[in-house]
Amino acid sequence: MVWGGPRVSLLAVCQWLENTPLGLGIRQSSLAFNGLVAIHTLGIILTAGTIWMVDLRLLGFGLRREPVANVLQQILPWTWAGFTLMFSTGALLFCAEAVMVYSSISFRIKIVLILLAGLNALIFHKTVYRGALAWDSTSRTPPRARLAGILSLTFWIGVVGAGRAIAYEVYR
Amino acid sequence: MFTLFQWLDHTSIGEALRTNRVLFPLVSSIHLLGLAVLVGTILVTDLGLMGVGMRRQPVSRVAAQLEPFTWTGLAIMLITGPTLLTGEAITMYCNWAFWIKLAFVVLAIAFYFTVHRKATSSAAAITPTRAKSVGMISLALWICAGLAAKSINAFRP
Repeated sequence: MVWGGPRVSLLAVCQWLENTPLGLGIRQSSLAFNGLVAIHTLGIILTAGTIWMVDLRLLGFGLRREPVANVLQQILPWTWAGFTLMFSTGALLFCAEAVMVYSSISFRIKIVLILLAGLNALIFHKTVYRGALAWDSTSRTPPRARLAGILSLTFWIGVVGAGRAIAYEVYR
Repeated sequence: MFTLFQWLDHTSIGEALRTNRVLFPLVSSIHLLGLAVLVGTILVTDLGLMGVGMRRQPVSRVAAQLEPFTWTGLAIMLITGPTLLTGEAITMYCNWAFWIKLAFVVLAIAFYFTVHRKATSSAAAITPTRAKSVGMISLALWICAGLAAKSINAFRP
């Protein structure tokens, strides 16, 4: 180390998290744990389900008679609701089993995919989507919008798959 | 009924699902993807029915455009669901959460093809209150089916 000083490893943070009263409490109550898992799953279904509706529109498969901006503005609040649900319950579940989950490959893949999905959405909103009003009236969306749609579709399929895989990797 | 479940457990698909480590998580992921597509389309339609979202266009138009995807999601679930069942049919037979889930799925599908379908048809002339309750019941049935499905793991005997 160049600067010296204490260096806390991620693993140590996970070990600490697991033993906080919160982590312990969730881990030791099957009702709390399973309840959180259920709400977490509802959250991801809400998030992915609504995002896919927008993706289908971007790809020109579904909701073709509605302008992209219309679809996006109306659906986005529900995506955020789902994401908030998923993220908050996900963080609590992580506290309960931080060390096991930290060492899971599927969990790391899932986090990377969520970041990629977020980055893709951010780039889409900051670039192509700015011109939405111009291309919205035509039925065919520009190639970059379609690319964003297909990437988003793929990333979220990956998130769901990796999420499922964590359970099988850790518990079997 | 138990004989049927016993037979399911002994099919070669069931055997494959139990022995192959990747197969079960893979099929269950596809099952969940199907649910997300199904619930995504139904949620968007139900928001319109309830009048809390998707208010800029008629519900019937949204429903008509999303119907093929509802079908796709449902088809994915109806194929992968029974497939997963063969992997642990007897265990499921003894799990009451499984039967509750099945009941909700049957109710939700029946509701979708009857009351929900009628309420979202373009010829529908229903009051906002009725539309609101149809949307709420539809959404509640699918959420209950999902929650019961998640409880299956929690109530393993």
